[in-house]
Amino acid sequence: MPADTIVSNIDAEIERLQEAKRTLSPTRSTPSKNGKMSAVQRTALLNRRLQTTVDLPRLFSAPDGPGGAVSDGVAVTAYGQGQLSGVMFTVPAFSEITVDLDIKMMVVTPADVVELSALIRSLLDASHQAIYDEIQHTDISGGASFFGFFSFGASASYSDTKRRMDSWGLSETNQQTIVNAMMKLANTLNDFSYHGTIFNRDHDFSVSGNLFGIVMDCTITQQQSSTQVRILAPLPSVKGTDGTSLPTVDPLYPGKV
Amino acid sequence: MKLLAACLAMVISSLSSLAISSGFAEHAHSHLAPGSEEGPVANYQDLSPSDRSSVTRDDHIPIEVKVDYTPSASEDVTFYTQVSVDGRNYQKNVFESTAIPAGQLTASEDIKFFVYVPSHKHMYVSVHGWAVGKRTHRVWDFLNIRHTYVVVASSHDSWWVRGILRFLGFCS
Repeated sequence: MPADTIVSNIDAEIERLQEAKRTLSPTRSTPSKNGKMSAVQRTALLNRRLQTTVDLPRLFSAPDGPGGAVSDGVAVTAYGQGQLSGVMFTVPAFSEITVDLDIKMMVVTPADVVELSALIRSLLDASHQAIYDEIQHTDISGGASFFGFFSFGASASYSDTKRRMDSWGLSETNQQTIVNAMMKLANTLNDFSYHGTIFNRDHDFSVSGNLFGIVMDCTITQQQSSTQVRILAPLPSVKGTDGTSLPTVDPLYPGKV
Repeated sequence: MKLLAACLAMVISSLSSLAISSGFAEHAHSHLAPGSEEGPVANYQDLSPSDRSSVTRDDHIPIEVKVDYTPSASEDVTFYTQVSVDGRNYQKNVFESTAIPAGQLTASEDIKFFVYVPSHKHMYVSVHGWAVGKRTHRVWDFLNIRHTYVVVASSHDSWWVRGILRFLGFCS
């Protein structure tokens, strides 16, 4: 439901309440001589109160949020560079290591992100497709345009993501298709795997680092149910404790991006 | 006289490296056995070059080993792999893993240590793999093997240089 419709509904409710108050006030201001209402007055007051319905959920509904104005949608709750806890490498001097890692995690894996990204691209028109393709070359996207699709590096509410999808020229049906696709990927234990070579042959010192990647946390709301999902970007990097990248021979995930 | 002294030095050097390697092996085997109480496991395979291979004197060769890690389910573990050439330890390769339920993490590393081939008749390379639990400080020993390589003269050297090097004991 659009936000201005909600605002007008709230205004209507407030007006209705004020009208009810005005109607009830004369009854209260004219009590009987001994300070008590007569039986007729009491019945009339009760009847008026029964007729004045107050729809609390509608009055107190937040214009943005689960169960609110945007009933189906996506909110970006966190966005940034995350460290993959679990493994750490130290590559000694004059050596190189080729790593194969496979972890089962509750995340939307880069392979799924690539598919989701392709789906979104197919729903865009030609002019927006060109802009969409450009996003994946930015650092903040982590190698997938999908990460810049909703918020581009910041948290975003349901309304923000909705407006953002509108700005991409997506129809309501297409937006719903994207939300449905994201919902399908949520809550599944996925395999996160990568392959890469860290090259330290030319150095006489060891290098150590963890795996980092762009991570986006989303809350997907669909028909009164809300699901949290964590999405991992396709291009992770191996970084040391001082933030410097380790010398990888090829990007990790060869052939999957 | 100088020739005799050089030969003697070569023999002493070879014997000392052999002694150091043997001592290292005895020390490593005194640790605990792997695989007990859901402990970590590291499977080492494909160590190359194979034993008794020929290597060229004064060259840098890759000592390659493939390791499959299975982390512990109960504690964080640090896996170490170290190569030593003629008793000289090279820097360790370290792989740290947090405690993770069995089957949720599969990791393998293909490690290449680039080492210098010294001027001896033989080159003794030891590869040692072990793990240490961060909480219990337990040590799991996975591998401690030693390969012997035959050091040969470079094909770029002329025949008479190769002859002299062989005569002096700098290669086989």
